[in-house]
Amino acid sequence: MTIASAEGWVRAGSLESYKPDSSNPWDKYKAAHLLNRAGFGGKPEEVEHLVKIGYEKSIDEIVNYEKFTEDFPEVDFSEVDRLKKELLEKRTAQALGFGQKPRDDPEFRKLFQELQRANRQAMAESVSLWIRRMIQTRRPLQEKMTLFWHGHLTSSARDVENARHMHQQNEFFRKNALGNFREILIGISRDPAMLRYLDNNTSRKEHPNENYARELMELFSMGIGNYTDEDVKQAARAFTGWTFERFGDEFIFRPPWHDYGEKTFLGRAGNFDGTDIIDIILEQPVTARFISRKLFEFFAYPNPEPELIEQMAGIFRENHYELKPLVRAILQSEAFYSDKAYRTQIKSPVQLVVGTIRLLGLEGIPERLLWLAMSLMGQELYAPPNVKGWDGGEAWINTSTLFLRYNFAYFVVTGKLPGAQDSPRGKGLEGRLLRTLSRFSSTFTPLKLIPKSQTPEETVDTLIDRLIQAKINEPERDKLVEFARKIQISSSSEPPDEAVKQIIHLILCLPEYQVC
Amino acid sequence: MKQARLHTRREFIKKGLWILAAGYTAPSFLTRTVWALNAPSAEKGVQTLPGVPEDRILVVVQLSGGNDGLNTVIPFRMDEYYQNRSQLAIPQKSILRLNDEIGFHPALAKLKSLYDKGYVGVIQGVGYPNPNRSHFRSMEIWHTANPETGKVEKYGWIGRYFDSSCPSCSKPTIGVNIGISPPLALRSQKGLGISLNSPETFQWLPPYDAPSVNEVEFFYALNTPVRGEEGPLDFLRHTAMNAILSSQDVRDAVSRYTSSIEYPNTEFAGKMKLIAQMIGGKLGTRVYYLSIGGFDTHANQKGVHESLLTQVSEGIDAFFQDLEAQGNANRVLLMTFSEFGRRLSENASGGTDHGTAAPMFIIGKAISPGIYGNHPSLSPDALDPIGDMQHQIDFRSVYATILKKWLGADSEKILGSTFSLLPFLL
Repeated sequence: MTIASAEGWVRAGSLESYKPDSSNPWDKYKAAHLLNRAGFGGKPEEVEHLVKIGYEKSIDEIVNYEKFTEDFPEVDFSEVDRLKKELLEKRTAQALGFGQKPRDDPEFRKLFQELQRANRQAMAESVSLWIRRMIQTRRPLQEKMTLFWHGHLTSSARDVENARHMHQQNEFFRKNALGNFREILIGISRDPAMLRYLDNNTSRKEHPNENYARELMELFSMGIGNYTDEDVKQAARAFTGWTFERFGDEFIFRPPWHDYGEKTFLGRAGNFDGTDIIDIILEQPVTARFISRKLFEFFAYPNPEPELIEQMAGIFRENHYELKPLVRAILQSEAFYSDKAYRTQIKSPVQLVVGTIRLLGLEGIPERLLWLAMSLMGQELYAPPNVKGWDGGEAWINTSTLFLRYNFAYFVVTGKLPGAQDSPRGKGLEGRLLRTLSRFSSTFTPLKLIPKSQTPEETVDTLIDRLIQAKINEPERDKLVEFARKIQISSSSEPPDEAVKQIIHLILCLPEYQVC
Repeated sequence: MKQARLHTRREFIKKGLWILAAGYTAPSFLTRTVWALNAPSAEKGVQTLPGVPEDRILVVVQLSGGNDGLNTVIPFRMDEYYQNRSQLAIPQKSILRLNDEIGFHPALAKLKSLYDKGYVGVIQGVGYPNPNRSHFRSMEIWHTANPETGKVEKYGWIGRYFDSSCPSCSKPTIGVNIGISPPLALRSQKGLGISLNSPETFQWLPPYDAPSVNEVEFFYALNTPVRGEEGPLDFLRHTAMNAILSSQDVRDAVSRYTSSIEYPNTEFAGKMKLIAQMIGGKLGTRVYYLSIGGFDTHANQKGVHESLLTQVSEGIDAFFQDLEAQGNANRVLLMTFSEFGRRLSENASGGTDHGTAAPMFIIGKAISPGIYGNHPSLSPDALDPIGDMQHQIDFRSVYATILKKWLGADSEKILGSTFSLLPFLL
């Protein structure tokens, strides 16, 4: 794989702003790179738009996304609310001495099962809405950052088991996508899904639960090696009593559960509560480095140079942990446009699936199936594998997931998703959804993606341009052209839809399609 | 759909060469890694020390999240156990006693019957010096067999076994992980080892069955490693090659053997069953790997832990019944481990926090069964400053014993040091 525009790529390791000039122009390759990393990939017309408005305006459009209005529906929780209310009333009646114990009451059990079903439905709706946003949004960076936070400040629906809490957390991430890191840490420490996921909701002064305190430091802010096990114990004391209402959706502080004693934390002593702990964490120089580094790796490339990390951490601290200046600095840096970054990132399953749907302009696929497809490939939204989130990079790829990615290519052109029914998430899918699919596959007309009367070479180049958005090696291109000839793509007659689908399929099965 | 059968990476490259001949002017595009495969291929598999049978199999079961060892193998004579666990302690009467000191959690009934049959070794108090209580770092230590601070090995202890003791093996299926995230333990320099979730999805499917256009040949060609290529594309093409080479072998093996044993309807048992099928179908794999998660029981541990132990115990029991039926029980050794045990004293959430030492199980017909080592003391002065147990046996002694005595490998070379062997294998 050679780099697209051979001359004119810039220095890795530099946070200096990239300055386009004649030897190093702002072109469709760089614009596509920006759209890939700051979003989920751009269609040819979107790439062209950024090329046209120029580099600086492009960055502005991406980063200052608030100016674009969005209009997405709300998730409907009315059924969940109704059932919960009924159950609670019944429960209260029973607590007052009327009727049987809930466990023995068939009506109670039935209601409870209905609530569980409604909750699962709402969970699927919430994820589906998120996937739809990623595909349709005019604010790609906001959704990309929402994904970043979901993978960084993880919670899993498997433990949380509450659709509204997961949905609230998702909305919190979206609202604060490029907000202030201190506010994000405080907010997430009070977030019901997180409180439940890392068990702080039941932590009391008698025997504090260490789960949240440990991961707050190890994974969310400082990184391992920058605190002791004793600091974990002390921080856990400070967060005792931070919980949410039973059966409710709001944070509450329970004074009788809280440890008001003096704590010693990272060398400081005082009667700290959770907010103090967060402030002390933010005083540690390592925190700004840890977060800058993780963001840079998310957008640009792994293992950034130490000087680069220092510069980013400096920007982060100077701006009082505001994220926008930091993310902006990354996206406009020379490092971001260097060959160390360009087309070196293995697409996450979300990137692959959302990007493919966007680039091919596919419509009518239920998002629940896309959720399933991503899950099969190893990225189940609302259910990261563990508190560390997804490792990313090469960890996305192994013999199992690579076939699953190639099976997704099969799904795109045939409407059949191998393994769907056998997977735990697929088992719940109704036949209705799968029928929708066969309809979708018959309406997918890739012919509209290629101009009329193209030679096999032109057809292949058009599709590479749309899907890979970079030049690929000659031998691979030749191989694709040979294939196009074989399946009778020619300029003299309009090719059959199936033939175009088949080239698309082969392109989606290229290693080159797995990177961006 | 007719597909050419290719068995080794060398054959694949050669075939790819043939397919791509028209497209390339350069005579060869073998990669660095592939050059290393040019040694004559011994299809038997791994080369072992003299005197050790070559058809032995290791199955590694990972209990992810930190299994509560104290509620797995319970030291019911120790008062501190009951004093520190008012909600979680298992009452003496329901413990499945192994002797007058220790016994299994009642959920391990099936494991107890395997124990009574002489299939189980219990190794007590396993850990390493300066225990790390991070899931991720401690898991890394177990996977790489290197607890040195600041040192992260690139390859796993099993991967290094593939690398060092397997000079001529060429089949990626030498190591098989069930699931979609291969463990660091299996990572080898040679890039051997595969992961698969289900045999059905472990294959490439052409969308149209048109005999005139063999898309699969183009697919192979475009997924063949290219000489001089580096970075993610090289990595992707190598992975694709391993996947393509193993796909048919795996599906053939699975279809060659049908189990008559009834497995429990759990995900874990399903994975055990798949492994039994691959063993029964003679895939030629030396190490199988599977994981079960959920052991990070910081809250409401009681029911969760009980259910997890039941799944593990019943799944392993069905697996060994199956192996018996196949006549393969003698060839298989199963080992369980977790990244750490849990704290002696329970927390206010009805759970336990991250701890240190914990027991391991070694299971197989060919082992010397019994209890190895003593349970770590729970008395306050024997615990570390955080309140956790001190380990008695270094986990690398267990690895060394398995590598040397079971797999016939050079354990010193693989582990970088000499560890005393345990007598569960003679």
